[in-house]
Amino acid sequence: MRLRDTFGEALLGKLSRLRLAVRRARPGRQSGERRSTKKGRAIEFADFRRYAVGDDPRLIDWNVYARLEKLFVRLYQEEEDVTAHILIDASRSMDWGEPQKLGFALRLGAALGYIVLATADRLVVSTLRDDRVVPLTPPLRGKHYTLGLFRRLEAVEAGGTTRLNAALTAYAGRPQAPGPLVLISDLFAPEGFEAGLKALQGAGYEVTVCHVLAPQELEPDLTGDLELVDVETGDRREVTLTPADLDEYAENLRRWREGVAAWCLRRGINFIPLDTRIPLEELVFKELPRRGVLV
Amino acid sequence: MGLIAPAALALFLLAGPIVVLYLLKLRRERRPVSSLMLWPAARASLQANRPWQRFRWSWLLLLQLLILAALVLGSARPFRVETAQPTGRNVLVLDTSASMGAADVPPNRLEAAKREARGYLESLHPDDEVALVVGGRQARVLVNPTRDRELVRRALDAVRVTAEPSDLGELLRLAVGIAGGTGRGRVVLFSDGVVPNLPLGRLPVPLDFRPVGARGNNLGITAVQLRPGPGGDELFVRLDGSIPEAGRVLVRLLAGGRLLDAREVAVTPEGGGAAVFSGVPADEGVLEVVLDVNDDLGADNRVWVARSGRQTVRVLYQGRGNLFLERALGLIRGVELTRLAPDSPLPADRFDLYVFDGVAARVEGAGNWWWINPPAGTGPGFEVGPEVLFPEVTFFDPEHPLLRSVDLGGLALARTRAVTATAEWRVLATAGPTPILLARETEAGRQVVSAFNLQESDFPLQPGFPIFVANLVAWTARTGPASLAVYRPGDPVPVRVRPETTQLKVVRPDGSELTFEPRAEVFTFGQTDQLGVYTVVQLSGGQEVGRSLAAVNLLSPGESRTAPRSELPVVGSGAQEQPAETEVRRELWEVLALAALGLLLLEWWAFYRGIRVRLRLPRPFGGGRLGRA
Repeated sequence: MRLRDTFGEALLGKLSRLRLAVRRARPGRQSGERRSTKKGRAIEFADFRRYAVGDDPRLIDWNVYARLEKLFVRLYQEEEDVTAHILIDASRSMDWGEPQKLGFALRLGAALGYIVLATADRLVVSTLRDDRVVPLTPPLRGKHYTLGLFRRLEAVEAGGTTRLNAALTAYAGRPQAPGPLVLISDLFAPEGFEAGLKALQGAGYEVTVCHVLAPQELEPDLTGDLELVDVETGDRREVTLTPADLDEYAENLRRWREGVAAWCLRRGINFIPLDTRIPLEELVFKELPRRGVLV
Repeated sequence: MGLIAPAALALFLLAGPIVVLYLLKLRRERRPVSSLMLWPAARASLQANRPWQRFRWSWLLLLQLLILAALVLGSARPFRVETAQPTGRNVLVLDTSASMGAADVPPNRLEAAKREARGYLESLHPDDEVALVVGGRQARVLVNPTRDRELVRRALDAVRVTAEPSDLGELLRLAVGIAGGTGRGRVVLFSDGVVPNLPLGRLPVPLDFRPVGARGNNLGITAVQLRPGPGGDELFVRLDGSIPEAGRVLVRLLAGGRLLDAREVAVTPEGGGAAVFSGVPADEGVLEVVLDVNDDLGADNRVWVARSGRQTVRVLYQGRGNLFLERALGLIRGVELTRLAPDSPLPADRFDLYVFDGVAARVEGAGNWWWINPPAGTGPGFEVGPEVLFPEVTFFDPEHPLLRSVDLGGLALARTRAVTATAEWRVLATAGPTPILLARETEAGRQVVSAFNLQESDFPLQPGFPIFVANLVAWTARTGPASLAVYRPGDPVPVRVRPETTQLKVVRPDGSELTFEPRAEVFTFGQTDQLGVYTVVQLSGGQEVGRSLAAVNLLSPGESRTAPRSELPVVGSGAQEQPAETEVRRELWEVLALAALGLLLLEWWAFYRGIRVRLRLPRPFGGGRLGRA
């Protein structure tokens, strides 16, 4: 898969007009385009404060002093960058389906990554494999890292199992600046993923879950006496599939997705169910803005 | 409880193969999936082509074993012994006479009666016996008492309308014979009630009359008579029926398909109508009388008159003389009358008919005879008693060949003699308890007794008298009415066989041929169930030596009056007896068959919908942790 072919000049130009939505201000590392929790010298007025020894006398508002005969300094909203995190599930279960789930996830990750780089924010892209988070890039800032990002993404191969709880908890414990975090995964984690997501939220990440499923998972065309083999774990299950079984599967899937969505809603996590048949442009320019991921 | 066929229990051995099928392992196609999380686990395997596997509990196996058990037990025909009252015997009587072909109830009355009979059949208890009797003039038992409903239904399907007049007495006699045997029978009569010859009185079994028919709208030809006239023959045609209002109809006379004459006839609901065609050429051949009318019954709208070659009928009259009788005999074509004084001995010559009028006849030497007003004493098979004054006619049989087109209802008698007769004599008319007209058939010939003196009654003055005399000559002499051979459906047709004849061929109206080898001077064939002209060809060595015609027509005023009756002047009697309780075996296989069917449906449902093994299916939302979150 060559992401460079997928993202032409025209598409990149349209992507650069989008921004990753950030719901709350947070301190940054460098000045940037995002509101920071820090108050300081910037354009946007924030508040007044009584003058204290050590304050820069240039910040004293003399008009107020003339009226009140008391010294007040003006406070301004500092604008700094944010660090956006993109986590892509690269377990073997993602290497499945037509269109393939991993390819879909990497294209989505590339689009989101480029949007972040184009807005002077910092970007961290990692893949999840087994119980580990494999950093794909160091923290990047600036469009000139785009090509390098794409190359790293093109090199990703599926492998290992999905242990989301362990991997996400480990990621939450890393000493790094939290920020908006997009998890792209099929969530097929036998041990669950709830604890990991809660740990990320506890560490200050704004979590968005892109739940990616292939058409063959949404509407399986299996029937008859089969031995189903889990591509990730190698587990086997004998089934005699009738239309009623397919109905039951569809019911299980529906209940599962609705359960996950409800849980995410309660936790303030943005849950976005996705089908790998959705074209990238429709996803990026319609679906994600509609869901509040991009603005 | 018991089993009628316990050997069927051996079929339980089939449970072994069924269990074995569950021990065999199914070969399944291997298909990779991204996760097993959402897939239901397999239910028990149904097919096996791999080695053994460990036995696993399966609801399907249980259901299949239950189905097998129900079927095997059903095959063994279990029964339980009950005490029950035997149920009744229902004799269904279906009138198939010509009037049942009336189309006032589409498609016709018989089909409506069959529909009702099928409905009645459905309403019966399964243990009830059913017999089926059908017929018009002649009753036939189509199905003897049985519990096989399908047999009765098939027999009902095959019943067709006949061209015969109805003889309800005959039908009911046969039905009572079948129903009465058990003492708990019941006769159910499906008929339009159009029966010219209604038996009176009570039946010894209950009678359930189910009338069919909606209206009477029919006009038919009920009598024809051909007699010699001054300028050719005269053909008399009588019309009768059930017509709602007076009107005019057209009657056409054809010979060989060519129109000879036509008459417009006024008809009234009370008296019908009549037409006389005079100057009919006396050629041999078939005359056809057609009534142009659109009514419910078509069988009586066409009549054929077959005129065969002249035959001479020799009649000997012994008595004091009777002008009316001699005149009536003289009107009959071909009759050669010889008179004999009362006390003269019978001549040695053989006559076709001997008429003894008020004399002590020596009938032993005679074959066919008519004994008028026999003196007191004993006759062959009857005894003549004292005189009865001013008797009134209470019954006469208009369907008997002697009384066709003859109405004895208004007959006035000054006196008659009380006659008691043996069973071989058929009573054709009675005055109170006393028969006044009797007839019998013996090997020697056909014989008639009229117990009253013709000259002490107004019978000779009635228009029916010459017809009666003609009927009597035709019946006794077996010739047909002189040169006019007209019969009713079912009538035996006599044929005088020529000495050289070796084979007789009868061509029926539908073209079918019957072949006979005659062994007597007079041959009689009885397959006259079709309306139309029968041709009798006499063959000798393959060569035709003679040919005669006989026409079979409905000619029944009773059948032509198609107005249905809702009640009959005959009633059943007696409630059905309550028989003693007896032990009966009540079989239970139907219950088991139904149970097997129900279990089969349940098994199907269980396979496709119902029973799932959920134990190995991971619960959605990550093994249930989500629920506690």
